[in-house]
Amino acid sequence: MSTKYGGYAGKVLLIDLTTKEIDEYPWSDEDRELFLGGKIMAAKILYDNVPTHIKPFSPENIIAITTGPLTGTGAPSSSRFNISSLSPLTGLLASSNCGGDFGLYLKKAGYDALLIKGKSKYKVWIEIVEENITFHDADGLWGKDTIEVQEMLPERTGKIVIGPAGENLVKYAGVFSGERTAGRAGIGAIMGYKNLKAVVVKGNKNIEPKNDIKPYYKKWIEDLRKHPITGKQLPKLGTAGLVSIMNFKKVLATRNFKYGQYKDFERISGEELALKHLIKNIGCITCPIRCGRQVELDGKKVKGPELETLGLLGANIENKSIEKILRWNYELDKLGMDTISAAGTIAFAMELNEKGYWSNGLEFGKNHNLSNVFSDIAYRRGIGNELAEGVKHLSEKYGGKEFAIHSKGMELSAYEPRGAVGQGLGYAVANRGGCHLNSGYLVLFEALSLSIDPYTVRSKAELGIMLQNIFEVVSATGSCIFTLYSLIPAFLINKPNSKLAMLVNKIITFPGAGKLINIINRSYEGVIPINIPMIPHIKAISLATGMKMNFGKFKAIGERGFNLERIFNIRRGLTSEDDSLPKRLTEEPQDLKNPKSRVPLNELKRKYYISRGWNLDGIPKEKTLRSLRIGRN
Amino acid sequence: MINVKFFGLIRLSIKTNDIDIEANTVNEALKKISQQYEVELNALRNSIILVNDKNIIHLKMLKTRLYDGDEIKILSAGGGG
Ligand code: SF4
Repeated sequence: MSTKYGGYAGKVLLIDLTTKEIDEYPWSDEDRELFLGGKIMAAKILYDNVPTHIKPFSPENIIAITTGPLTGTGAPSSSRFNISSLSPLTGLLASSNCGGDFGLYLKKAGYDALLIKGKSKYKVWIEIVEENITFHDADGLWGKDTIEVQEMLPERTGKIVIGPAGENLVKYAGVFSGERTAGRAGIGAIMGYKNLKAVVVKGNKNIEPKNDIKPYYKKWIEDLRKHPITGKQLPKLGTAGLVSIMNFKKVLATRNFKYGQYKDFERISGEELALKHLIKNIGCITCPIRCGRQVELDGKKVKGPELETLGLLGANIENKSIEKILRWNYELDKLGMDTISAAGTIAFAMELNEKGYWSNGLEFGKNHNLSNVFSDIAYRRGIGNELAEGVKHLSEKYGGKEFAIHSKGMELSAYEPRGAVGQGLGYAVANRGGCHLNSGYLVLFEALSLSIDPYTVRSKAELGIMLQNIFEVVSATGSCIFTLYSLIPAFLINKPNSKLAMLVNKIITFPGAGKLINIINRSYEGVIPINIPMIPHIKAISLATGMKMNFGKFKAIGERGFNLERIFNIRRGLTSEDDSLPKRLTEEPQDLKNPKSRVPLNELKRKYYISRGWNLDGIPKEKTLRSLRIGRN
Repeated sequence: MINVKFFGLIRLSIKTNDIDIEANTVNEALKKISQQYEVELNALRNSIILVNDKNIIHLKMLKTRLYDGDEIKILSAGGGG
């Protein structure tokens, strides 16, 4: 099935691992207009095809690997792919976004997406060279780590692989591509369950944009290079550059989220990484930002840790050795699991041990043996077998629910939300569970780049919704979410002490500002038929695909995606009770002298549901779904 | 004596974690640092500046008085993660 739109390959490949049959999945131009690509396209396909009450480890579960229409058109930072499935960690819809070059290769092979269903009887890896699809025996690859296996597969191809953690169904096993990871929510374990070790893809097809888009991209790249975050902060310090500011703003998760500041934060900071360990910054293909870190470990050049890993394997377990974090980061990548969930689970186990709930030998501040523990998790040996199930499982078995730091079964990332209560709301309502990006990433406005009042509830629900919708659709274009820093005008970063910057910070949480934001949230293409230069993706979509795109329409696609994921989860049994955080974060103030330093979740949730057009049980109203052209089934 | 600590991109450019200086106001401290380290005064003024862990926007901005034993933290603004 081809398409009238530019930017797309025009085909969705469906592979049945049980029968080894190959098919084309029908995906129309109307689908492209409504769901664009990436995680929204995947949500629609899974909503229509995954039977409601199956277990995540079932042959009927589907892995959807999707790209966006900007992927392969030369757009900056757009070589990425999305991977979605029913998560073994949350039992809900999972989506995970990954850098590297697999997305680009998939498009060049002639596919916008690859769907994998069924379960192979034997261990297999799939090779896709345009129309030729081969199932290879993976016996010789099984057991290899994510680096070894990629070295054994054909060169100059896009690859996704799993490591031992995925093979052994660790609930937070990731999918790895080059040095990048689709880490969150355990889709690596779904690949392992399906006996699928790797997918390799290549091709020579051209992806044609509808219009001459090169001059627009050239300007976009210049703008990214000029912006203080994408042009300076991220290339020089990486995401790790946030550790210091998080500590100042009391949002650096410390000692299993008991505190928001860590006394030894400097030793695990981005500055320490840059000055003592960085060889150079590295990036995904087509990216001018290059936020990745290359560091040296045992004489080898390896990928350095992201902020979440530094925070959660540093402050959150009270480890001040950055050298150890470099090592563990590398080991976790090789074993094939998500560093955020692995680290969060270790911190929880440490507190369970400290409080006498589960004697497991793990202690805060003493972590000489974590390499062995990570290996035990990947191979499910000893306590590793329990840790492989994640925080929620441990809290159900051993207790400690009030300090079990997860939402919907997914461990939170390194931002302590009592210092940024809007971020707390975001964690609780994010469709994939305790994720900082799907949450709307309000901490960016509350602490990191702006300084709006972190404790007020005013405007938080409305702003969170706006950001969630925009993140959702930008991700669906195929662009890296970091390209969205254009939303924050440079003067707010360059002159944070100026009167104008302070005024902007105040205005956002002014009484009544939330209502205004919500008017924008609820207005669609007819009402706001304009283009917003702060979101360069809108015009890029118009130029690349030829679709008529404007801010209202663009935003509506994001909202459609978010609601579709929500009703998928509701169909799986999700209720408003699941939009939750542990009591530590909602009832115990972070600072005893400041009663506002806790997440007033019920109040925030209520405002959020109403502003989203959901009922008070958190279910989207028929009217809301109808206006978004989502049909329930 | 005032202890000044540097964070973020400023630390990378001057390659110093912290220094001790004599100064009566934040402004005076920044001027001295700019002379000593070839870092633009404006870049310092446009950073996030904390005096004893309080942001100067909640104090008297650059005119904030300093006393012996105070600690200043200077952090280039902005982040991404
Ligand atoms: S900003 Fe970083 S994660 Fe995003 S595309 Fe560039 S290198 Fe990859």
